[in-house]
Amino acid sequence: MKSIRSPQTVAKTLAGLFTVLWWWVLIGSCLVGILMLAGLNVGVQIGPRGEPNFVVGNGAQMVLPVAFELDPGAARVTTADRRNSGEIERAAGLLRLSTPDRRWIAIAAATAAMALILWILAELAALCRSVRDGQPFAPRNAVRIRRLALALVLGEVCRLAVVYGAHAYAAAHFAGEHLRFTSSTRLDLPGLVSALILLVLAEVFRTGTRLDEDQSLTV
Amino acid sequence: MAIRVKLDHLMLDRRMTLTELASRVDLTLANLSILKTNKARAIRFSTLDALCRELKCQPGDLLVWTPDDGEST
Repeated sequence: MKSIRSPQTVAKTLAGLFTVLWWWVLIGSCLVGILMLAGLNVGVQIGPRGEPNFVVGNGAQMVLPVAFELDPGAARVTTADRRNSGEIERAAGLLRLSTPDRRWIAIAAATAAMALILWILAELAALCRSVRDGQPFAPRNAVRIRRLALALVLGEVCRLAVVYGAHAYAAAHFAGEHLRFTSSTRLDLPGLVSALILLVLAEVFRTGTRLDEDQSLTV
Repeated sequence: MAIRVKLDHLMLDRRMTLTELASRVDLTLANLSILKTNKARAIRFSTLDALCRELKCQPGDLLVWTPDDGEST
């Protein structure tokens, strides 16, 4: 029977993975910065759920998430055999701006998001390294996990603000035939539940740290 | 901590070094040092038994309770 992987092996793998991801994000961000300094066109793409990404190139533009409603006639869809039909009530998509007027705001927001991602990856790597070294109940780890939970909450609040802001910007400045832009955003419940789980885990680690300290000072 | 370990007094009376006692009671020098400097949070009965045996004393000779600040006797 094969032996089950020890927690140290899993932690070692995860620590390596988080470190590689950290370097990947850092090098990517630095590369974007260098290209911006070199005068190349840098744009920002914000995905439908608010995830930021840099776009580099001659035709770099800004891409924003939008939500819209279609006119009743335009929103009607049918199956190929026309036996069934429906109507689109709300739709979401991406708006590609060819000449963005507030590109720097988006670039600054994306940079802040990248910094937050870098920090989260560094904390996760440090956490896994301490487990790999056989010291999971280091006092610093409880603080780390609590901060990660708060970072998740902060990230969710920022994501909501960015998505809502993009929706509102599109609704205020753009109009199209047969559609109306709307402002709406949805809370990422799984993300918030993850943050709550991390907060509980932080308390578990705090108790574990105290018990570990008691154990080490028992003669 | 209100409980103090009088290990240094007993070792002085028995003319015993910390290293010697550590080897006799089968404890590491680091652990015995924790006990001697009153940094220990708890003591096992097996450790207490070994210390009493080697130092030829009673647990009461080894441990003493001193009130903390604001605590009455």
